[in-house]
Amino acid sequence: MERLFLKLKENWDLHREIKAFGAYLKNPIWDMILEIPSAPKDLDGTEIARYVREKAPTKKDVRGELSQVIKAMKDSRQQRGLCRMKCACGMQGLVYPLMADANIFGYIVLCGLKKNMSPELEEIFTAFTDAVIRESRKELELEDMNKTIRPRAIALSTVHTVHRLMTSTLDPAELLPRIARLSLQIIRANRCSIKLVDNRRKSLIPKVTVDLRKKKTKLKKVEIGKYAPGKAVKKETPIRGANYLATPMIDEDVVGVITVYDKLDGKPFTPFDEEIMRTLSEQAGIAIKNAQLFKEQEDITLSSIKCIARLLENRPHGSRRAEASYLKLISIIGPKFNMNESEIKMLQYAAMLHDAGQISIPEKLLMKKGGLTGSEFDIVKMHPMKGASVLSKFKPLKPIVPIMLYHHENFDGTGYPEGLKGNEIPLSARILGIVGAFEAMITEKPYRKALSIKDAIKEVEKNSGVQFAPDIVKVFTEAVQRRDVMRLLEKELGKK
Amino acid sequence: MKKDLKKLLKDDLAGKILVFFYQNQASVDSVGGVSTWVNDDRKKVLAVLDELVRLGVLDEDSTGAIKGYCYTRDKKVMKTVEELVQDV
Repeated sequence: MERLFLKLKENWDLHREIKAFGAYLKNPIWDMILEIPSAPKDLDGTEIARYVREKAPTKKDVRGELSQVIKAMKDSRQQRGLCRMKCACGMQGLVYPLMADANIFGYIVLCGLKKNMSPELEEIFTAFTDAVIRESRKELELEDMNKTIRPRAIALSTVHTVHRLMTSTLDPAELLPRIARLSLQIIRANRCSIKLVDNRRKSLIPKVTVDLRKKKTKLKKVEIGKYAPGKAVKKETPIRGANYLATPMIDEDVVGVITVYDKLDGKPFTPFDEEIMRTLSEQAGIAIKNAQLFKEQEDITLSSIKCIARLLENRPHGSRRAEASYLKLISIIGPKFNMNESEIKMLQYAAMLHDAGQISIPEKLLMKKGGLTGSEFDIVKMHPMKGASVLSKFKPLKPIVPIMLYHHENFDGTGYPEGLKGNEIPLSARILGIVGAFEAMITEKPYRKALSIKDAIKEVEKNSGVQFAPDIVKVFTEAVQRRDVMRLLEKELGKK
Repeated sequence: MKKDLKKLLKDDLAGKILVFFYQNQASVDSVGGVSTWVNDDRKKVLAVLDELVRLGVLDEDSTGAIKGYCYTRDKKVMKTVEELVQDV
């Protein structure tokens, strides 16, 4: 109630009321008093006391006049309404109790009126004052709501942002450190460790630890049921100590556990921290499960691609391919042309399958020694389209269809199937064009011997600007001559 | 850092954003969220957020789709901000 009293005192409309009535009533003295004083001296410091002291001739008179004010306040409390009074040297005054619901939380005291207010004016005065009280109460309610709702809205917004950050990646290598960082941020702790459940071994495998103090932390495997992380997983509920909080990540079954240690402010973890970590862990569990499912899906896709690639190798014309080397070359070249991770991955898939369309070429043509006739070459030229058509049915591989389709296009427009030139050829197809041609050069074919790596590089450089894009040739030749790539190539091709 | 931060705080919006993160140290929010809390234009808020990240007062966690801003956990920076925020 004291807050309402102070709020009312600051209310601008009340000040306007005082001013307006003051002008009409020839400037009486106004005061707002919180409680009824027990003695006249308790009114010291009020406007009323100052006024009475000015007007009353003796100290005794002052005491008497102020006693009148106190009596009027008591009467107004009893009557729960406006009370008139005599104040200082025959002047009139009044007291009006300030009420919220049925509770009195203060008094307006008016003194120095030459005559009593008319009943009509009293009505206006009380109605206006009550309206101002109602307005002040609403203001207070709004303030209170703001105090409680705003922090909750901010917390909700944080939960929403964290959710978006977590679900925006499906790569566990990126996701787990992000969950750890976000946990540390939200809980304001020094260390966070994430362990995932290994159901076969009934243990928790440490995956990531972030320590702000840059302490070296050993990543230890923990048995389910042991220590705080193990217990949290076993009991499927958070385990909280003064300086640790282990929260299981549950999405149908337990995925793992997030453990935060040592709050930045040195205080113990609270039930509130536990609640926040529960929410975060729930989101983390879902995000990890999604990432795991995505990874499984990707593994299936990759296995299928490898399977097809092996089948192609086993055809009569097939030969051993330096697959890891080509994939490495692509992983070096791709980023130089601002390709993102997913684009590079698709280009690698395309590299494994780029000649899948050759399955449609009769074996006798692939095995033919010597040159092809015009009609035979027309059949060979169909293989990018055939390969692209087959793979377009496999949804996860849709992005590689244009790469497969155009990897035999030449920079100068003399390639096939559409005779595209320069930048009309998709970047990935331009890169694969070089890597694929290089691969063909260093691989033995039924109709010719394999070139040495050195000679193949020279051949690629010779065709820069004709068959191949010059900017990619430059990056390719640098990449292929890297010691690690060369070593891998020699190993895969069985050369020393 | 302190000098640069003092300079930045001459801007009212920077002061409002700094106070927001100082008072809500566990918050992680996007530019849209922060502009709601400080009730100001998104573009202006983004410029200040990026400047505060540059000064090390805020950390950012970004993915292709979203950038989350949060208060630093560096104790030295936190101490500096605590001194400056009293005058904001």
